[in-house]
Amino acid sequence: MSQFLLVNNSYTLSDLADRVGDTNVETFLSVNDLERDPNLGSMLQDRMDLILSDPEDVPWQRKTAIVNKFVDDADVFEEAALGDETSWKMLDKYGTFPNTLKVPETMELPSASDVLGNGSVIGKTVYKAAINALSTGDHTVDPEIFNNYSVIKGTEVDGLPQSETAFNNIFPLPWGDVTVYSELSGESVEIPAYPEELQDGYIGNYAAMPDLIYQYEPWLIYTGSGPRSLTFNFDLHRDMWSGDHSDGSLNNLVRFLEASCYPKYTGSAVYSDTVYFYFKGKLLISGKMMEVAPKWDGPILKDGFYAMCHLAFTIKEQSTRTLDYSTVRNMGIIN
Amino acid sequence: MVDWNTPFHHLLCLDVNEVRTDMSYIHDIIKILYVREGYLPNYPYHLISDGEMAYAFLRYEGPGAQSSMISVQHAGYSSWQDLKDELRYYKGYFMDKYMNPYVNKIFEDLFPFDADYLAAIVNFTQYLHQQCVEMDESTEVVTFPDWIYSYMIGRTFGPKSDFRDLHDLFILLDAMGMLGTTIDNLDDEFTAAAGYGCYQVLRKTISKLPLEEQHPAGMFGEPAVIKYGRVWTAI
Repeated sequence: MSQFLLVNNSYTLSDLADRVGDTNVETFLSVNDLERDPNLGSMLQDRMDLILSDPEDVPWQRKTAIVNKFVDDADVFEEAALGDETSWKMLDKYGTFPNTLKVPETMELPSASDVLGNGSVIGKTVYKAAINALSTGDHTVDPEIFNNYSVIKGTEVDGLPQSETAFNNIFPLPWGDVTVYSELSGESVEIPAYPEELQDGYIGNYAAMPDLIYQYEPWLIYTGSGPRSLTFNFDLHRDMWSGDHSDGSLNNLVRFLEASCYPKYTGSAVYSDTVYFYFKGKLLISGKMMEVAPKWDGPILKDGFYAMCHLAFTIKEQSTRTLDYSTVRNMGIIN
Repeated sequence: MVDWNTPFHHLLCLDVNEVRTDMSYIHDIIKILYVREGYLPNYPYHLISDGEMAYAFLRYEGPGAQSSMISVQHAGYSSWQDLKDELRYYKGYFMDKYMNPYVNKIFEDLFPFDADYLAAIVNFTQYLHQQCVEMDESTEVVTFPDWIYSYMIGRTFGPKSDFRDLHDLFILLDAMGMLGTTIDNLDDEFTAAAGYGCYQVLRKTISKLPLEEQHPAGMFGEPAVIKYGRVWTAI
């Protein structure tokens, strides 16, 4: 790992001692070929002035040799590759950048705003592009090669580093909390969101007896309960799975649910699907998929389709257990 | 004069029976500070002589010797550039921490030219240098008065001091109304006017001292300035 400590023109020896510790100052001075002097910043400035007076540019072959030493630190590699001629001359003669001190190999400074050297290996594509740029043409590196347009790569929000899937750190997606299982396929699919709202409904069915004498109200006879029917509404975005909307995950979910509306035919036998909706690991409802109605809107993404899907589907209950007064009376909040 | 090519010359000259009497606690503190800051070589403090310490504090590196105080002919001064010319050969901790930043401030603030004040600044620097030369050349133990130690250890308030200390100093100077203008500023910078205010206070305090203790007045926040200001505001 190659690390460099950024300093300014007014940097003093005591500033260095405060930064790296008194016991390490001598090592720093030795590695940077500096004498012990109160005003380190002005010494480095004098060194720069000497470099500026040298009219000869650094040959491109030497530049490629220099950047090859920094392949283990992507930020140092980038800083070197994009440096101006003064920076190249400093690197060639002193092995440091302008206004930096080389950190001794035996030390490792914690990552900070004044430290160059992140220990992250330069990508192969970027490396090849940089070496190619240095070796051909006008021997300068275009900063564009270091730009990354991937939608998956983490971005910085308020200066905090993010993981590969940036939105998982911004919006906590309830992975594993909402699952639909299909009996016909034996597979389940996760929905990365809660339903927008949950409207449940239990029904008791009764038949009215014919009019009886001395009865001013009809006599109701129990005929059955239900069927309980739940409609779920989800607002989903195609990026919610991996950050890459072309991964097809939302389409997979929609087709999974839509397929449950259709049976499987095996000869003359017709097998219809039974779906199970699990909420926080508990079965909320099981039964037949009555309707799946995705509504697409939102911006059109690069692959030519909508970004947002307002997914609504209705399940009519076919309970796996006998439902009677006691069972329903003792159910938990979900089931 | 110290020969920096043989840094152990004082140690090597010592007789084994010679008692080291040139060490005092404040000198040790100053030597440790100067080693850390880079004004002295990286040796243990007990191997550094008081002469080397004084040399690191303030020395003259110009042509010829500057061993005696020069009577300043201030009639010859015409601009602040003369101040830079007079002080250009002086080096050391005092120059880096106090005088050079203050001279730069005079230029930055476009402080009105005052030949008497210029002469006072040069006089003060030369006096301090004279004290350092006496310590270096003397074979006896030399100690400085406390106000010089306050410069040597960096506790006198100046351009490189903490802004909180400077703010307290400026409040006292404004309370005393030394200049008729406000010295306290938003950035709590040690301006040329602040130095002039300190100089005015020190002239008053030094004039009250016995003749043998009187010395040229400085232009920084010495402890005497703080004390005078606190007594003034308490009355």
